[in-house]
Amino acid sequence: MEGMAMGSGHRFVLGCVVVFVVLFSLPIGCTSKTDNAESQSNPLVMQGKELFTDYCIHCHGPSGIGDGFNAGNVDPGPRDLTDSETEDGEVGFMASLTNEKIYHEILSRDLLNPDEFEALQEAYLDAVMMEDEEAAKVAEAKLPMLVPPAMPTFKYTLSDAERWALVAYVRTLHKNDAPPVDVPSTVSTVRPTFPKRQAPSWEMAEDERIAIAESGKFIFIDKFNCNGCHVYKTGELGGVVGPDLRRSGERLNLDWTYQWISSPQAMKPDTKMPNLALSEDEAKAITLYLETLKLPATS
Amino acid sequence: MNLKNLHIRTMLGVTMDIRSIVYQILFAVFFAIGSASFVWSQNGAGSAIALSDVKTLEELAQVGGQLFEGKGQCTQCHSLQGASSDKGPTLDGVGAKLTREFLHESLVKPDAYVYLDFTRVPPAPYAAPMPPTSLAEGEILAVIAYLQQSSGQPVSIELSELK
Repeated sequence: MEGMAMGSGHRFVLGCVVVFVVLFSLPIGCTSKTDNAESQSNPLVMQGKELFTDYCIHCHGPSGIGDGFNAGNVDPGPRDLTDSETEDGEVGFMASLTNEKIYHEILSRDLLNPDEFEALQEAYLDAVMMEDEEAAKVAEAKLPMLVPPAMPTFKYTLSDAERWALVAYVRTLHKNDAPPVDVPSTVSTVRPTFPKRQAPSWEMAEDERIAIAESGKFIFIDKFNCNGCHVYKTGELGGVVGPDLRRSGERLNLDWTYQWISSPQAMKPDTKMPNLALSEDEAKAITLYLETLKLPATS
Repeated sequence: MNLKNLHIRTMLGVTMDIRSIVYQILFAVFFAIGSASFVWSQNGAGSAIALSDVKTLEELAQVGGQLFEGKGQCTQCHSLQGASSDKGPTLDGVGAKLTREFLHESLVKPDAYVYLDFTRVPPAPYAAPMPPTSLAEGEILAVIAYLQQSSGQPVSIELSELK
């Protein structure tokens, strides 16, 4: 009699566990769109998820669908990372990418120096004018930032291993046939470091200052899309991930700005601002552009 | 001998047991230490300097430090080293980062530009909105000098401005 009671008690507990497991796994199965149930316990994926929360959800949103709080402030808007297939049933953009492409061309993009950037932009526009499709294609392929994505490269901020972890996590957000991310053991786990720079002299003729600031504006907006994360001018598209820069010229000391944008992590190791590996000239130009940003004081 | 039963006669003629006397003495000692350290902190640790006696920028920064810790009540929400708290951002390095004009504005009109807690998603104001300071103009300059000095910056205040 007692044995019977114990047995039915066990069955009840077992039943509860089964019901709970089923109830809890249902929503997970519906939202994560992953076939790989092991991903939740995969340390690489979990590391990637943590990094994703730190650096990506602002725009891509917690689920990766592209609905982060800053999504409306970037143009083009953030990619839907859950894009498994198109409306017509074709393979979706994300699903069509290889792991290597996500790693190399998105998370680890190389940046062009301003001269290269301008030369390529010119070559592309010339080719379009001449209706030389071939030349346009060549230039375009060399110019991943012709229409610069608001998303910064993470090549100079995160370690190689961390960027692979991000690939592994992003892979769990959409259905895909890619093999599981296999990080080679030789990959570096050390974040790139950029030592604090000595600021240059800010003494210069007024017309030189204006010219450098003008090039800084181009670098700020067109090359690095700093306004993806920062408001810089009332009425212009600007993000709210980082501080409002509309009063930079009144608020910030030039030396500090130069050192900060040259290597944010050297000054604040846990900052979310990515390092963009600015050249000395670029950092100087952006600093002098920010110096021009002022708002009439509100009283 | 049971301590609890040992009664002594106090000056007021009240009978107390020895344990409560010990408690009272301990309380008095702690109170004395507490109030002494309060007065100490109000005057700034070490030798306190009055703003009117300041003769060098070093001394001005020292007065600023006294005001930062004491009358200005800055440390209620801010620290000068280390991380930000929930209440307010760390002021580590602000003397190098921010212009003297903006530091002044932040003390007088703190709501003109509110620095957000960017570790939050989305970024949001810190828990304690900063009130305008009750410090006098000369005292504000002293605090700015202190912030600049503790950020390793040259102090950009002139002593003649204190007059």
